[in-house]
This record gives sequence, structure tokens and C-alpha cells, in this order.
Amino acid sequence: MKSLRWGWAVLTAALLGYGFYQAMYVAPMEATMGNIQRIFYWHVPAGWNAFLFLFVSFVASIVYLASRRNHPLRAMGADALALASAEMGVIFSTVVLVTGPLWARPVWGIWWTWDARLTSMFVLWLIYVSYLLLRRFAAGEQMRSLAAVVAIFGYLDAPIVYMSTRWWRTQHPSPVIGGGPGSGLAPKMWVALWWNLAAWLAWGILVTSIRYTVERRRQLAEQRAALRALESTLELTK
Amino acid sequence: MAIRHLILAYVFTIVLQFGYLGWIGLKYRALRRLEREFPPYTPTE
Repeated sequence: MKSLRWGWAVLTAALLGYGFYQAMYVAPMEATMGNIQRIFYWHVPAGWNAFLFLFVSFVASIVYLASRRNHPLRAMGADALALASAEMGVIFSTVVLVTGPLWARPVWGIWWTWDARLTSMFVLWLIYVSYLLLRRFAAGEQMRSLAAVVAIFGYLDAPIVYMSTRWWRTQHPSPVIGGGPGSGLAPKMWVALWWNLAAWLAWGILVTSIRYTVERRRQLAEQRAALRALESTLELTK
Repeated sequence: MAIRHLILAYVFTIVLQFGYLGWIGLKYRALRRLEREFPPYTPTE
């Protein structure tokens, strides 16, 4: 497992380096925006990965709620995965929310506007930050159940974020994939986008797997601590 | 301004992602302390 993880880390580093090279040196300069358009190669993969990791958290939360009574071991694993992937999703969402305004300022002349895409993405970020705060400042099985419910209902915002540029007229550019006539990218831009998407996906899988392992081991150590406390109480009452 | 924003976006992305990895490293150190205090049960005779 350890060597597999190291191999994956080397692959991820290579992909990140090659993705950077593609974005900065191979992809052509966009005609109207110039070099600032290259932010797109981190902004879009971060957005897609945010959706993906938050979706994993959503599914793991459903598994947790469904199995917490009859399959406690499976439930604890699902809970650890829900937490690890939610953290990764929040990190990617933060990248989206920071790189977006950095692109917008030179192009739109403003940092931020409360249009449907930006607002719904900000709400999604707030929901999952609340989820992490709930997990940080509460404890026990009730907290885990409540957090799972927040993760499940919170993900309902994701399709709204995705469809917002289709449903409403927004300041945010229209979608690149399936955006109708006139949408799309130059072939070399696609290549740079796919490499960066692969690189950040590999990074997300690597970091989430490490976080999951740490959380799972923490759960087991805490169970042992609770068991030890119970044993010493029983010894005292003898 | 555009180039400065491009560099800032890239630096921010890298710092945030690696900062998160570093934070997991701190969590791992705390976990090792907890595991030393409460080691896994080993089967006895």
C-alpha cells in the first residue's frame, strides 16, 4: 500500500509539472483576453474536482446513514471517507472562488458580482465549510448523523451551480462543454485542460486517500481509548 | 496586472493545496501520539 501510494505521488508530481508546462507554454494565448485566460487551466479543473469530491462525500454520507445501525464498521469507513472528500472538495472550491476573481478583475473590471453562478458556488462553499465546522466543534454519533444530513442536502446546490449558466443570464462565461453553438475551445487548449484535469484529479485522490487513512486510524485509536476508560471504570467498581 | 494575477492564482493554488497536505501531516503527528498512548490490542495467551 505504501509503495503504491509513493508511486501515485510520483505520477501526480509528473502530471502536475506537465500540466503546468501545457498551460503556460503549449496552450495558445487567447485572442481577446491574453495570458490571463491561462487561469482557466486551474480554475476549471478545480471546479470539476470540487463537484466530484463533494459528490463522493454525498454518496459516503448516504452509505453512513444507511449502514450505521446494522453495519457499524462500514458506517465508520463511510464517515471517514465523507469527511476526507468533503475537505478536499472545500479546498478545490476555495481555489475556484479565489482564482475566479483574480481572472475577473482584469477582464470584467470587477472582482465579484452576485450573479447566479458565483452566488450558488459561494453558497455551496459555505454549506461545506459549515459541515466541516460542525464536525470540528461537535462530537459523537449524533454529530456524524447530522453532518451526513448536511452533506446530503448541501449537495443539492451542486446541480444548481452547474446549470446556473444555462438557466439564467449570468456575467460568468457560458459553458465550454455543451454550451451550444459558438462554445468550445481550440484543440491545443483542450489538451492543456485535460492534462491539468488529470493532474489535479490525481492530486485529489492522493491527498484524500492519505486523509482517509489518518481519519480511520484516529477513529480506531479513539475507540480503544473509550474502551480503556470503560475497563478502568469497571475495575474501580469491582 | 494580468501577469501578476496569473502568477498569484497559480501560487495561491499551490500554497493552499500543499498547506492542506501539511495540515494533514500535523494531524498524523497527533494521531501517532494517540496511538502510542492507546496501542492496538495484541492477542494474548
